[in-house]
Amino acid sequence: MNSIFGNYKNDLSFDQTKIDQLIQLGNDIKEDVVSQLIELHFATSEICLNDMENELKELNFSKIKSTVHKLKSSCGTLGLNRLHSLCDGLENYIAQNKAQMFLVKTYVDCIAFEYNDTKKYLWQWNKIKVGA
Amino acid sequence: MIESIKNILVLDDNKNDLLMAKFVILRMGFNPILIEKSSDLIATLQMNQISLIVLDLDMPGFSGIDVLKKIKRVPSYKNIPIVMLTGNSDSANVKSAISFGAVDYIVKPIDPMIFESKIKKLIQTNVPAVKKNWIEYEIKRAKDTEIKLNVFANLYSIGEMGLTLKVHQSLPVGLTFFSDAPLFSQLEIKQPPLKVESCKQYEEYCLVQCSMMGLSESDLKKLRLYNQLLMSKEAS
Repeated sequence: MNSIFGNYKNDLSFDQTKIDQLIQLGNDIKEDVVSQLIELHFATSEICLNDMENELKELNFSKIKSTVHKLKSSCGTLGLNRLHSLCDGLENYIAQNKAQMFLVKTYVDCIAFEYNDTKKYLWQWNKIKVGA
Repeated sequence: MIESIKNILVLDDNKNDLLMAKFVILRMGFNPILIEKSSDLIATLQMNQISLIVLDLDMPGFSGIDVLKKIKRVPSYKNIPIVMLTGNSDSANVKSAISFGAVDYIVKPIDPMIFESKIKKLIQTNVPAVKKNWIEYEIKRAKDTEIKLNVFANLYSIGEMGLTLKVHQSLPVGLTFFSDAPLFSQLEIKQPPLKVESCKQYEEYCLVQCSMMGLSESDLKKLRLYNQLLMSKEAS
């Protein structure tokens, strides 16, 4: 896992400026934008991670590519830059059509690890109880 | 006369992006209409007066390009401006979306500022139908004859969303073309589509401001670094 993570060490795990932009957006439209986006991110990401685990067992790389593509977008929106880059990396790696099981699995493990690690950043912004 | 609130239709299979698009469209004072399946598109277009469509390129089943072609085939909908939304900024996808009639391109993740500025500009620009056809003609012509603008255009400045070219002749606002300027190949950025936003006379040249479409986050990073390098060179 370290070899993959090494490629993404320069990416911020959490980019606060993205959340600041969303807070401003929420203030402008008088809605709790941040909480709604985080709640949906947790709900959809958990499904994506489970799907990826199953697709990995089935060795279905094209499905993994499509699932990781779904996960990628909300990571970028919420400023989870490293997670976004990892998803992008896996998507591009599979797109080259030379993907090896070992590396795909390592990527999936890294994504799951980084996802769990980023929860702490998002929880502080989320007024809705998540995963309780 | 009371003007009704304009409807903006967003078609994307990703719930997160739909929600984000909804918030930004609400801030712009427009009404978001959100759909997840391309099969709901025609019914939605029939039931609502749509001013602009934001269309996801990477959808399972019917791709964004298929949907784009379908809309452009229907005479009553073909003039609705369509902006493509994608996380995959492959220049081949950008080229084909533009050649099939998309007016612009937004790269995911949605950045509220970029999304807002692009959509607002398109909604506020009331391009007459004749001019629209003319732009389409220019795009087709550029595609057929591979006009090499870098032969006579010099790069004047470059930012994250656009660049300014120093050109010996004026270029029409709205013209979309693909640049193969050496800078892009040096930075390993695949020919980004450029759209002329303004053209001003400057001494014996024209300064042509172009917006860049379809750049990925990694392309933007390269441009930022390139600009930082330029600035540090100038400072020293």
